[in-house]
Amino acid sequence: MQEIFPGVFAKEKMLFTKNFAPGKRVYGERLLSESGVEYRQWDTFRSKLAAAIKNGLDTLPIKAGSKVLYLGAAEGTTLSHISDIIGEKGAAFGVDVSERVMRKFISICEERKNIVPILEDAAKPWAYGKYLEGTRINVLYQDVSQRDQAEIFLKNAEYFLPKGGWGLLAIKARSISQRKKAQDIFEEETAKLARLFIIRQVINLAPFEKDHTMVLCEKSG
Amino acid sequence: MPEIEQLRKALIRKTREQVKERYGEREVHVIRAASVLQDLDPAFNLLAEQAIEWYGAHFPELQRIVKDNERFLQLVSKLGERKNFTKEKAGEIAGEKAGEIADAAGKSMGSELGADTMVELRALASNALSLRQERVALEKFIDKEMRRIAPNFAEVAGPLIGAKMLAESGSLQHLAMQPASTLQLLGAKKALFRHMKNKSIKGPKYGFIYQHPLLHKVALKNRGKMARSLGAKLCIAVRTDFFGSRKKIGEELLRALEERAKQLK
Repeated sequence: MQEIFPGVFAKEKMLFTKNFAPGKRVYGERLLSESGVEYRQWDTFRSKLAAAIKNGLDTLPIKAGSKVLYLGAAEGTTLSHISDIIGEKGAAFGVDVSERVMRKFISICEERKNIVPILEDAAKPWAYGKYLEGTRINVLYQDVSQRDQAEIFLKNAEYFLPKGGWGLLAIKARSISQRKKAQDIFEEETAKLARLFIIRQVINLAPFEKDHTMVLCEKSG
Repeated sequence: MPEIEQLRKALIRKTREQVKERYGEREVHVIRAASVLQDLDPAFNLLAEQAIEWYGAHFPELQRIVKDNERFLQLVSKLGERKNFTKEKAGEIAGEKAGEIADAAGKSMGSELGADTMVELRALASNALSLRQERVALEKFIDKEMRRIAPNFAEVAGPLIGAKMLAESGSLQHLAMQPASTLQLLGAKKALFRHMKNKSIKGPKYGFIYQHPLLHKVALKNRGKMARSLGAKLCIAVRTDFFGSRKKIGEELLRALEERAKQLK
């Protein structure tokens, strides 16, 4: 087991995180014990963050103790691995509008002391701002399949992310247009972020996801 | 971090309540019911085909005489073995074809089946038939619920078509915020995108509302016009239901549409 980022491990081309809730699986992933520590395999086809790491992410701003705001938590697949990474001292807030996916997500939150569910629309940060008042967010992570995903990201960054905070934005080209070239969409969306962010890295998520990129950026103003 | 721990506990509780509340809304159930309804017919056909094929080993001639799956299964589940297909017994279900059936039963080329096999077959037939009963019950449920949740919309669209449209759009709120043209084409996504990608393919004129009886009263060349009017009235109806005073305007809208249908005959 080789540690490629703090809290993220690789073995035989597969990614792993230390299981924060030992003995428990979240989405049917493989569990692996090595010298007394239990690891969970991190599926690159199911988690865009894992795909980004696999495709050569430079810096992983999410580390032990990080405070993460996660927009588009869905069933909490990726968030469960973030929970593994940030550990005891970290906290992650998972926002999603759909009560259908919340049913599963809540049960994950109950098992993991460092994640908090918020059933709200990510496009309306004012609706859940009150829950985040006492917390200084370090990382804003977003994976929502909305046409105005860049605007939602910027709005939330304005509300919650201090200067120097990190952003990770998964862009799904096909949510924005069915017809334009994916590359053009990525460039347009990334350009929008320049208003608040310095772009550090743009990673295509192929072959794990089609027409998706992950943008790593740092808040400048 | 005791504050975050407290917050987490509070938010888990709150989110649970929100989820519970949402599932308490009645439109959720109509939407599920409409979606079950769409799966019910294919499920029935699948089982019916299997049962009929299997029964064919015993009484192959029956397939040619009784073409209706439901009736066929009723015969199998009630009468079972071929030798029970007397004229009067078969007549209770098959009506005027009973004579022909009894005739064919007498000189069938099918093989005899063991008692166990026959038990299985009859059970399969009656189980398949229960899907039909479920369908009737479900339609009644949808009818009642649609009239309660969106009386005007259900009146104009017809409860079943209305429920399908509601299921497609996800919620009454969303449906009420759509323009009339979207309501007109709801359920024709595939055709619409095919048209948008390749303009030489004509665009669709109707989606779910194709099944609406008024649309079939007008001349073929006028169906597009009728669909447009229907979309517009549906739009008014659903908005009245969702935003409005729950005034009953459904009948009035329907009358206007009937008028329009006469013009377009």
